[in-house]
Parts: sequence; C-alpha cells; structure tokens
Amino acid sequence: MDLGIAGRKAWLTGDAPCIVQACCDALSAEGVTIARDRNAAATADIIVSALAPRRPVEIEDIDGDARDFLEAWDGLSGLCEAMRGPIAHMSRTGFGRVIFILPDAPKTLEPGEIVGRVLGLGMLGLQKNLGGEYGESGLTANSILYDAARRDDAAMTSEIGALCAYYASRPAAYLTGTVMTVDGGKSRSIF
Amino acid sequence: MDLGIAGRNAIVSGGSKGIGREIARMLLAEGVNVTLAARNAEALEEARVALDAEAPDRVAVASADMTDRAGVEAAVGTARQAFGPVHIAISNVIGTVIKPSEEQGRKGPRSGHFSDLEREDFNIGFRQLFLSAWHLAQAVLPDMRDQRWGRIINIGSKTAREPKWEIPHVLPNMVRPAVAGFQRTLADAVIADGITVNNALTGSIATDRNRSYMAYLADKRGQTVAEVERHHHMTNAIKRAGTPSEMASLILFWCSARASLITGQSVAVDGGHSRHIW
Repeated sequence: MDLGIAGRKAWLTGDAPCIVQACCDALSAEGVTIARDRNAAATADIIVSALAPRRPVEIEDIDGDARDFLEAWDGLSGLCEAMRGPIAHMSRTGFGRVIFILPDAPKTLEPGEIVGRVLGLGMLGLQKNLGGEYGESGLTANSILYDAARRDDAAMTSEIGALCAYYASRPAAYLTGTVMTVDGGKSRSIF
Repeated sequence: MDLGIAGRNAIVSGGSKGIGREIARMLLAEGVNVTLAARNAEALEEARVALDAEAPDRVAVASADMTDRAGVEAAVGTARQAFGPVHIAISNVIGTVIKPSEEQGRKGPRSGHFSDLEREDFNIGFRQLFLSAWHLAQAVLPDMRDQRWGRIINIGSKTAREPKWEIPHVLPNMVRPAVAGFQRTLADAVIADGITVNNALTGSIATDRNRSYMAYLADKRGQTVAEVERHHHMTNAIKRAGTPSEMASLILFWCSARASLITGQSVAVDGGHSRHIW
C-alpha cells in the first residue's frame, strides 16, 4: 500500500527510545524525513510523541503536595507548548498528523500505574481536542496504547512503528480521534 | 426511600450556588449535617442563612479556596469542628471558564483553544480541576477510614468522555478524563474500607452558569438564547434541560446506605445527550 507520505517531515519526541526508533524506521521506509530537534520541528507535517511507562507509584505513596502528578503534567504542558509551532504549520498547509504512543495504563487498573493513567488520560483528551479543533484543516490526531510490560520487545515495537506509519499516511485521513491498542489482546475491556 | 444517612456529616465544595447548593439542600433534608465550602464569602453566607432556615443548626460554612491544599484542609477542619468526622465529600470545582481571560481571577484557568495557551496555563488547569478533587479526597480519607464508611463524589462534566471543541475548552478536555482515571484508581484502593468513589458527569442542567454558557453561545453564533437552547435540547433524548435537583438526586442516591456496591463509576446526567454506548 502506498502511504503517500514520501517527502513529508516528521518530528519524533518522547522518552521511549525503542519505540521512537521503531517509528523512525517505519516512517523513513516510507520516505519521510525525520526531525529529532525541536527547532527543526516547526515545519513538521507529522508529530509522534512516545511516552515510556512511569516509575511505579502507589496511590498511598504520593506526597501531600502531589508532586508526582505535577511533575508528570508539567511534561505534558511542555509538549503542548512545543507542539504549537508545528500544529500552526500543519493547519496552514492542510495536512497534519499527531500520533501519541502511550503505555496502556488508561485502559487497565494495574497497580502502581496511577500517574501514568492520569497523564495518559490527559493526553487522550488532548488528542480528541486537537482532532476536533483542527479537523477541518486536514489534521488528524490518534493514539496507540501498548503493553507496558513489553516496552522493549522488538516484536511489539516494530508493530507500533507500522501502525504509526499507517496513522501518518494519506489514506488514513478520515481516521481521527481513535485509540488502537497493540498488546496481543491483553486488555480485557470490551472497547 | 429512606437513604439511611441521617446524622452523617458532609462537606460540599462550591456549595453556595447551583448544583452544589441543591446537593446541600437535599442532604440536609435527609438529616445530614452539611458544611458548605466556597471562595465567595458573601454568597456563602446568603446560602447559609437560607439553608439554616430549613435545617437549623445543621449548616456550617467555610470560606476557602477549594483548589488549594491549605484551603481544602482548612475547610475540612471547619467541618470536623462543627460536626465531627466527615463521611461524605462532594468536590464541585468549576472548570469551564468561558469568560474572556481578563475577567477571570488570577488563579482560575484561562479559557482557550489549544493555540491560545502557554505551558503554565496547562498546569493551572490541572491544579484547578484535578488537584481540587485530589486534595479533598486526601483530606477526608482518614476520617472515612476510621469510620469504615465514606462517600467521595466528584461533580465532573461530560467532557470526561466526549470533549467539546466548539468552545475554547482544551483544559477541561484534558483534565476531566484524568480526574475520572484518578477516581477509578482510588475506588479500588478504598472499597475495602467501605468507601465508594463516583463521578457524576454534568450535562445541560439549568443553573445560572448554564444560562451564561447559553448566552455565550448565542452571542458567538449570532442567535437568540432561546434558539441556542432549542438547538441544544434537540440533541438530547428528553428534549429539555435538567433541573439541579434532578442532577443532585443521583448524588444523593450515591451518598445513601443503599449504594455501597456502586463505585468507580462515571455516569452522565444529561437527558440522553451522550452518544457512546457505554
């Protein structure tokens, strides 16, 4: 299938290096240019942000000022700020793809995942919001959830990369606001 | 139905107006002692006088910033001092700011589309909508664990499940789902102590706030308020706005002794407006 994105530019960011690399490989194979640097990102057509699982923390162990949450959320706030330039560029050019890649904490109740769950749900809300606000400008926003226990498993990360490239593609233009899980069917939720 | 909560003690944030005040009124009618907590001392006193007339000596007030840890702890301290340990806590902090930013208080989140906001705005939105619920839960849990009974309820919004983008709403769109995730996690952590945690998602409920939202949309679309309301209500199953007491009735049921197995849930009170199957 021709994904129709040769010559497009992608900005890849995030703290999950194996997943970022897999997305980089899959996009490069389609002829996409990769920007890792935030300055080069201003003219990106595709944003990929891949989040690693958080350090596990139980709800009782979060301190009274809730610093675990504040620190995690500030990272998301920083991502929002960094995305403003590229998103403005995308809405000008009429083509844009935002792809968030997250651990599956928003869909599970695994112990120790509360901070990742809160952060992940915030990102899913952001993704929906972006899809809605910029849909008419040809921007789509989608998310991939992955099995956090297999974060470095090459069999899984290469499939995440492939899905990322599909989400970035031209034929996926009517697919927005969706969440797909790459976990081999681990999740028990019906949706 | 006897809800079985006479003599329990509740704290209701944002209790001076709208849905919060109606929850307080209905709790009082069930024999619950209620502490109202809100920032505006004048509105709070007005509510206290009105509610005290219906339920003498069972209403206390705490003028406090319920988005801030110290404010929440002070308000819970007032409730404890007035009536004893807290059994019921309702977090009800407003997040949908639709006024122009210059009219908003310094601490409130700015309304905005994605491109209007800066890094710190996203953090302020999180503190306001998420940490208000977090700090209230933290402050009341010791009492609830001691009593081996508790009800923690958040008044959230449908945005938790279905974000809005026809208004500048990116902050609630991000933070409301995060609150739902926190509450679902907390529900598992405390159910063994007899404490339930639920989230009511507010739809179109006829409060002053909702009227100002309709007026905002009317202004933006160049329509009359009546036209906007008609259009809005056409999209739900019941074809009208809900009343504050319809909204509050679900909260009362969740507070009751009859709802000890309902926990970790987010339920929309929206006249069937939501389009998701679950």
